[in-house]
Amino acid sequence: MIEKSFLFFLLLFSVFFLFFSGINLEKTDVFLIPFIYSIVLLISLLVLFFKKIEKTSEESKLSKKTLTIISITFLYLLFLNFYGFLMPTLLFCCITPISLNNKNYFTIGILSLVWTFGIFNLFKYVFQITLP
Amino acid sequence: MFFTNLLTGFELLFTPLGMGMLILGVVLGIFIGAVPGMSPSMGVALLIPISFGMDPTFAFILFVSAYQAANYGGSITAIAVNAPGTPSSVVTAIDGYELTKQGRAREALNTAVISSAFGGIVGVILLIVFSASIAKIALKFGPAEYFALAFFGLSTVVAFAGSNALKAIVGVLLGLLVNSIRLDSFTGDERFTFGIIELYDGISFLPAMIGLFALGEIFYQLESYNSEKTKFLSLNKTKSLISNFFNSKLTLVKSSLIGTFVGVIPGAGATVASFISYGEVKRCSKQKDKFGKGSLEGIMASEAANSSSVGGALVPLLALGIPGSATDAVLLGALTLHGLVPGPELFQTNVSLVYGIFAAVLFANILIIFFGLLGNSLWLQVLKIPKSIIYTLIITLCFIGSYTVQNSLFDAWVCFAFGILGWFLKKYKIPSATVVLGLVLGQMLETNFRRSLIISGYSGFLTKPICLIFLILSLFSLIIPVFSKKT
Repeated sequence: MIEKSFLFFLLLFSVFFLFFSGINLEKTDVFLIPFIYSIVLLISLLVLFFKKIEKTSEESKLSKKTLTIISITFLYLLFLNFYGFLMPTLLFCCITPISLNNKNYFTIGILSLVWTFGIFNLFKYVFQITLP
Repeated sequence: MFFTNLLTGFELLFTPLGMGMLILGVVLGIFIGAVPGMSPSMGVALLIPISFGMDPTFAFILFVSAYQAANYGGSITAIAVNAPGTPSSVVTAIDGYELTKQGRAREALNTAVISSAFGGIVGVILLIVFSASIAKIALKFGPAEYFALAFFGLSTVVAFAGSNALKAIVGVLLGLLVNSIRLDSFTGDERFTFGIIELYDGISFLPAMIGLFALGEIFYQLESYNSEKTKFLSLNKTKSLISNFFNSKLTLVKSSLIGTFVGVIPGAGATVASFISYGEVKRCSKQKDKFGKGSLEGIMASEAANSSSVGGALVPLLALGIPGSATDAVLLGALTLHGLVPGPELFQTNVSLVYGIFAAVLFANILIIFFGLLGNSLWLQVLKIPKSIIYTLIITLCFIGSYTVQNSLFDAWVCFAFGILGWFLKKYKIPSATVVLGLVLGQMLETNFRRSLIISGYSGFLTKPICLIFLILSLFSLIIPVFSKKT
């Protein structure tokens, strides 16, 4: 079911490119090559979509652990946009190992501090790159 | 001329900075290889951001030595705890772990070190011999030949995907389509950019590659994550049997040659090289029954092949600008980011870089012997680092690395999006390397196709012999999976 959903998403992706290159093809021929790519992709995906899928329990569901980390990562990036590098990274380095059942809070705390400030200063003073 | 250039490469390597980068590259490479879940491509991609201020030659000494060492590093945890650090060391684990269970871990580890270094040296010798000569020929290539070459590079990936050929085609096309999001390089017309300024130059290679190889890999590994620590193994002090190598010269030479030639083929890479070499050595061995039950010959076959494939894979990258493996695709992106034009012109415009790379790969293998034989027990300490910590630090490095490409958080979001795509691709066995190849070769394919059309029309593709040969080979590559399925 999940594989079908992923393939369906890819189908939508190819249809999107096909549609936009198709409507622009009359104005300019720079869309010709993406138009050809998207047609071939669409056909390949349709063949894959209607092919019999060998189901395994591992592939049929999305891991909750991965989804949790993806959500935390999404929030981290969002906060990175608003609050800069230090605080969000410090929080991210604390929360992620804990959410992965690491209960060594003291080590996590120290490591988060050292890593966040270490990386920030390394980039700022050694590589001359200022992080956000 | 050739020897003068090679000497220039050695001179650069033997400067304090050159040696520093070489040692750092080898140490980091072994670490990257030894940590299960970190691949050479992931490691090199994460090293690129720290190289921006550096001279490209020294940056590439760091990358290629890490690349070479990571291929060896994977064998340490594969042998000691049956946890292959890299995909190519899966084959090493078959016999390596059996030997560990028999109390012969150190013997197996030493065999892996020497075989890796031997394979790596054979690979680099062939790299030096072939790449310079191929580059000389490639300098005569015109747009039609480059188009055919890029098309061939993409089609071989499909041929090597075997039963997954259709999935490989999907991957390549995804990469090509994503690559078409940019301002048209001929007319300047907007193409799928929808007014977003960050997309005018196209989607940056590096964030996309870090997302696919590093972030996607972590998301995938989290599915089978458990917080239990890996059982740690302390090595006993059995005698190392270096004398074994004198009895197995033929195995080492054969495996190294197989590894180098498989490495040259785009999309094949170290894993395919290891499997082919292992199969071939087993087929010809007098002690076939020992394979899978703890054969030193099995470790030699796998390690020599996967190490020599590094040199092989660098041949098309340096000579033609076509990546031979996923890590080479990352290196290709790094060349572009350093403002260099990959391909045969490198041999004319950046001689010191090319020969610096040759020297670095050669000496990285010598350092691998040193660090490998002395530090096997030490490298195993990486298994004590909890995966939850490793994952967290790598995720932050992914975003920092992506951000530093253009000092833009947009690239960090690109990395995130490609990370999720990489997770799904891995989950459904669509090789991420196919997407990267499409992404990397897309521009070369399209630009040269259109240039050739402008210069000589469609007939240009059929009247030039080299172009025609590549197109016929591409056709074969695309047909092979159809026939192999039927048989």
